[in-house]
Amino acid sequence: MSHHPLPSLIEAYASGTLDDATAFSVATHIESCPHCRRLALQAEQRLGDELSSAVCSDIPNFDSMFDDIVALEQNSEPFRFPRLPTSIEVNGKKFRLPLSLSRFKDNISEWKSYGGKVFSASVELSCDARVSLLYISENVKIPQHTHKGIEATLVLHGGFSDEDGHYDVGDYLYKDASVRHSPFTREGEDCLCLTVLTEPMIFTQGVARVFNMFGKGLYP
Amino acid sequence: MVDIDTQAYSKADWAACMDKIKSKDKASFALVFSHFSPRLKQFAYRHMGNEQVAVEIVQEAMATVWQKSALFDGSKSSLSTWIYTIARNLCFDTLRKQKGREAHIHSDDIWPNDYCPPDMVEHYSPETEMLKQQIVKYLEILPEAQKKVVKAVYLEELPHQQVAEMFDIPLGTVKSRLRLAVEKLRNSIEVDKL
Repeated sequence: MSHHPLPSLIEAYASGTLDDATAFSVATHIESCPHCRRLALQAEQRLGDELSSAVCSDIPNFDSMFDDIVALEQNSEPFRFPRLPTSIEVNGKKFRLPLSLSRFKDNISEWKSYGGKVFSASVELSCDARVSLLYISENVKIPQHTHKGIEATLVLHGGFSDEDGHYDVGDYLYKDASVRHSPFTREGEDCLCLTVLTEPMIFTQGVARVFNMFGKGLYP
Repeated sequence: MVDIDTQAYSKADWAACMDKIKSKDKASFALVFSHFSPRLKQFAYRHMGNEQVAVEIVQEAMATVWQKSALFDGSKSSLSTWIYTIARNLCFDTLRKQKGREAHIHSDDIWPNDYCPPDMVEHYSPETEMLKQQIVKYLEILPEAQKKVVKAVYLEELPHQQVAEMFDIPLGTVKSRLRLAVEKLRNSIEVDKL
């Protein structure tokens, strides 16, 4: 794993200021990345220290609130049940999904096939972003495209490359609108990704064979 | 309210305080409350931009500290971090509720481990197959009702809601049977490892 979210993105994640879907993509990366998990914990510690040492000019009277609270029963039940991994099948192969998606298995649409080589399924998670699973089988080149908005891509299985380099399991890419790229897989290499797109993607090159058969964008 | 200077409190001081709160010590909770509640209000106001909402967040966050004190582990995190994450998560969920549409993503999807004892999280995150094998092996020790639910959820990977409908039981019952079953499985699996 060599591509991580920028430290500023981890910071924004810890401070709760990211939009839902981007925060979700960072959370999913962190699940398999101890390095970023540590950064997030450090950020939370710092934010906690800031909270605790903040100077308070206004001391509200919360006496009745205190009385209400200590009248409540204590209970040690965890807020949520531990998440268990689930899996998904595409192109005859079965993949384990990240724990972050366990609760959302019902929100994953049917796979759409693009020429039997690229498959995508949308994940209904947020009104503000398009979240998808994208499967690219071996030896496929996706036409060059650019993003309107921002696209976060997290590699869940296998790997792919583009002009800038190679990406493996756990790698996290965060591309802005100005970046044009054309991902491809090598022979014997396939790839399952989670993508979070804030705006639909626009193709910039003559639409490639795989896609013009269907006349659709890559993302549902 | 309380005449002790908590400004200078160290991580260990707060942890000791929390230990007493776990046995319902109100005086110790008063220390935590008087130190954190005004700061939480300031924090929540900055996030939410509304006085009333900020007070509600303070109330809910401090109630969580009191009620869920048993889940606080002073050896793993400091009290200020714990309280910060509780308040941040409340702000996140409250902001989404305010938008007036149903949010799919909740704070516990984004920051999953906050209230979950780490041993449970770690125990249940390893590879699916290994876990399934363990569950299959130990399934027989479970009462029939729990067994059916565990099979449907973990082995057939059905959503909780569907399982509830299938067995004609409330969703809450599915969740509580799972919880009991996992507790039991966990104990047996661990005992077996000894």
